[in-house]
Amino acid sequence: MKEKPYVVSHVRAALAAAPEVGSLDIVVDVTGDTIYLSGVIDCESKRAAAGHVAGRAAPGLRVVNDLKVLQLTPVEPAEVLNDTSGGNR
Amino acid sequence: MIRVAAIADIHCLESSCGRLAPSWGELNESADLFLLGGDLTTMGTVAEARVLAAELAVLTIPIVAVLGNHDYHAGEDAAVCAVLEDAGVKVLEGAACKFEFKGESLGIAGTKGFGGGFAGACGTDFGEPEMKNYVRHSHKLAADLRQALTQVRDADYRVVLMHYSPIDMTLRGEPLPIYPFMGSYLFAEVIDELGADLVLHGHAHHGSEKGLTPGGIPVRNVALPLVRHPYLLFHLDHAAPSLPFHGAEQPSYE
Repeated sequence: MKEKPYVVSHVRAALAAAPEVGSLDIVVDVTGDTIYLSGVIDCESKRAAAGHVAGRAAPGLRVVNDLKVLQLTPVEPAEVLNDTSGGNR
Repeated sequence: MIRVAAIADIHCLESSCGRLAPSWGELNESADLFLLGGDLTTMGTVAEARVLAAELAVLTIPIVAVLGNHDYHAGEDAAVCAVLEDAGVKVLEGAACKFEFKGESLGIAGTKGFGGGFAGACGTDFGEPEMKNYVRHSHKLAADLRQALTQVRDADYRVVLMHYSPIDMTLRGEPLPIYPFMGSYLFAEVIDELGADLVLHGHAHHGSEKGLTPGGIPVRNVALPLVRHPYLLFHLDHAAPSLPFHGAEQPSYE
């Protein structure tokens, strides 16, 4: 098996390149023979695809997919911004 | 007062249709215009751009966008822009546009921005051609932003719309080693020189929402994965009372 840092890098690269995932910020950890995916991802289809892509990128390793799907929360009141231009006109 | 709604890093997929339109529809009543800060698509394909265009069809207010790094990945950025423009979206790159709302004017200067790092820890136009090209790309886009911001200098309110960050303050939460890939101080320098009321960017999913340029101009990171709202609202109002800044401490650039 390749050294852990190389596996992490290869899995991260595969997750970025896969059209069905396309994510640069999935957290990838490798412990023993297991890859752990964590962090937040846009939707369920990307979450599921990430697990498959990680498995293909590191054959022989087990994938634990702990990615969470982004849950949108209600919009907050507007932030009021007054004159901040500093007169630089 | 001008009411600005904004979001970035939507990362549309062909399968993600219908996720945001229900929330965006209410903006026709609550905002004067909607700004999109790049990474509108996942892989930068025309098909993904069409999904976004369909989502935006609920809006009757003006929409202005810049592209992000994801929107360039497939090499279809020109076609992505065309799809969005056909849907009524004004796409800016080193350019500006101006609107009038109830007798007050708003100028938007937009650029994707780029990396290079921040004062004291940034790339330099020196060495291998590849390194110089990297740094020069940021210099070029910052020069384009200068021109764009100058074009709307007489507007009552001015907003700078970017994808990459012009300051490191709104990157806090991201791993420090990737800061040079997340933005460049060159853009903040232009903004501080020419002035603006608000700077909006995305790209930093794990960063911080609020920051200031070294010159004191508010910067807001509106990346969807960070803010977790379908949009954020800002009211630009020169007549509003001053409020103290409650973001992170101003960074040192020494």
